[in-house]
Amino acid sequence: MSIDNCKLFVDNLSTDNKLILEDFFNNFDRHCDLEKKEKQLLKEDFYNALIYYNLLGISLKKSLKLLDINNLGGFYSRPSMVFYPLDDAAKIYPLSMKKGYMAVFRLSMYLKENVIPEILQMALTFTIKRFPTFAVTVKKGFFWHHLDSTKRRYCVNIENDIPCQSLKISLSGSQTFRVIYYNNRISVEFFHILTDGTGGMIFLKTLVSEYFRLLGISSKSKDILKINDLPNEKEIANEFDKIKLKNTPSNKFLDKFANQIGGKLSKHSPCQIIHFKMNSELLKLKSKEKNSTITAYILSKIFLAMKHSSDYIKGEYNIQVPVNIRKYYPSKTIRNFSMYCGIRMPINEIKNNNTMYKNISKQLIEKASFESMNNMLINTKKMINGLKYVPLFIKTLAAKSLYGFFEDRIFTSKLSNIGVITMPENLEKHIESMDIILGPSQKIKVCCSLVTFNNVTTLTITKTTIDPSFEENLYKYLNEDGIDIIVEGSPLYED
Amino acid sequence: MKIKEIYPKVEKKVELIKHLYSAARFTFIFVSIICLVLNLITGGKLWSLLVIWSLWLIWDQFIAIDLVDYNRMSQIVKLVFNSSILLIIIDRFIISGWAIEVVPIVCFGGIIVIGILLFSDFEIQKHNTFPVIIICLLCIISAIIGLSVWKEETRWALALMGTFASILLFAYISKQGIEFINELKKIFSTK
Repeated sequence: MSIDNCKLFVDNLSTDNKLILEDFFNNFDRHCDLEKKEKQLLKEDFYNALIYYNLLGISLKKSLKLLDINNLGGFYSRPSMVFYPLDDAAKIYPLSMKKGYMAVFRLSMYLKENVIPEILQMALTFTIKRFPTFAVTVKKGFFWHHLDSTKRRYCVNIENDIPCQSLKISLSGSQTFRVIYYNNRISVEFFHILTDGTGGMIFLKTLVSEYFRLLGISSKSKDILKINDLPNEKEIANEFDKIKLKNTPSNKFLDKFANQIGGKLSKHSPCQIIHFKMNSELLKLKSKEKNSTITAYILSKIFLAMKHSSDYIKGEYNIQVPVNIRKYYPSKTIRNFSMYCGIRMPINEIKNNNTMYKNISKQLIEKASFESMNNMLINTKKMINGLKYVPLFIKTLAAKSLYGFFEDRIFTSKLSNIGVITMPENLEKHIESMDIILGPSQKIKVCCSLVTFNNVTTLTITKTTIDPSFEENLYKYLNEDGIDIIVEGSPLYED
Repeated sequence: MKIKEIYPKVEKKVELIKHLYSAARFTFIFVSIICLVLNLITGGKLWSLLVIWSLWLIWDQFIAIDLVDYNRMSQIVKLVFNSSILLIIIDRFIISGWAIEVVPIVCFGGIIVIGILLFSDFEIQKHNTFPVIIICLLCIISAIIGLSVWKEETRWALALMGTFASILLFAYISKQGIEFINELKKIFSTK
């Protein structure tokens, strides 16, 4: 939106309204001390929203009430001074970054109407202050990276690239997440250094809730943060600090190498995104028939599909399953607080029978148990403590070579289930569905994720091979159990 | 299985940069190995080290762009550091006896440039001072050690380097005030 359009909008206002608007922007000036260019852009965002409201026939008074300057709080009027040390789980992410590879994940919400960018921009402008640990830039220290608080205009963009591409975080004041929209979809892509699926989901829900508030639909829910409340110490806590160190059996971070599924690695990473949309009730019923949880049931199907996606006749497959530690240590943190376990299956035991479902369920219960996770937490903490006085450049050298090499050879795939997501009732009717996309790994060829919303479970496959065997077999095995699937996705980004 | 497309078509990215990056990496490694082997076979001065470090300097400075903290000051600090090592290699393995004066000159030249960059855009650049503090501290420590070790000789360049580094650090601390403590906490945080 050009300055001319803003002027045109103001010129068409009555004298009274001009005075009201002038007063509004005088108040804005007091609440915004960003550098000149950023301030101008932020001002234009307000004008764009006002022009949109005007087109809808909403009165200026009502528009200004919706866009109340108090929603900016003091965020834009104070210089950035604060820094946040990384939580223990986040420390590996900047160390293992490579050119073209970064641990990124995406959370999306599909609305029933197309997204209004002007309103989404304002929603982000008002929401970001409530998430101080997201309004940051990654910086280097002598021993560790840290997050440096960054006051700027956080912008939304139209989606025009492959999902989960690396973020450019190297420049001064760079964003560490991106908010993008496409038709009826609002997506947020996070560098994993900021948060995990749970924290990311709180952000997305708060953003979407604010978006609807700006459209005149207010809502309340305990999972949605009130944007004008002050950030709470518990929300930004590094919960790993609470874990008490004690003698535990050492955890095997390095495990046996697992077989990889077939197919050449694609040039573009990922080369395709595929969503399987299934009825949650039916999926639950089918899982129950096999005496499994949904996660165990889907894991079994993934193992079966993997068996058909490579030429190996012996060896093992290993799927990494992230575990939300909040279920063992109740926490309000919106930063990383998850660990993982590996579910292994020898190829010759992968058969579509009850024994396999039983085996996977048993492994899942044991390996994701409190004892195992606590053991892993303690060992992670011990490792971090052991490395804390090693200069960053040495840690970077070691991590770059080791992390990519081992992580991608130990695991064949990943499955992240962030569970059932709910929104307040009056918002749910405006939202169609949700999905989560795991960013591609360096060598792992398929990563899967699950989310359930509005009785629809969306299984998303992130692919880095053009070989279609995996998704075709997964589709076949789910279909064989009588599960109807709606398949959506991206075009193939490969030549 | 029919996929309904719900993502935008993406313009094909030019892969040229990616290919050039791979080609440069291969060429640099290949040339480095060849030079080292030739040097070891033919004997004499260790000129291959000079080639290898020069290639590293080009790689580190211009090809493998930093993924975190890529800014004018960090690049100047990196250039000063890499150039100083290059000069030390030339002095040690090719022609000796001059680096003790030239390296400090390069360093204080770098410090002057960094000072200009820092104070000409302080509000933005104050968030990028980690490499500045490190180079200042390194220069001050090196100057103190150098002047203590080579007491009898005139080492004006070392003295100048230490002085300029101290001035820059002092000016920065004065400008930052109490925030400097916060900056140190950030940089040297072990959490």
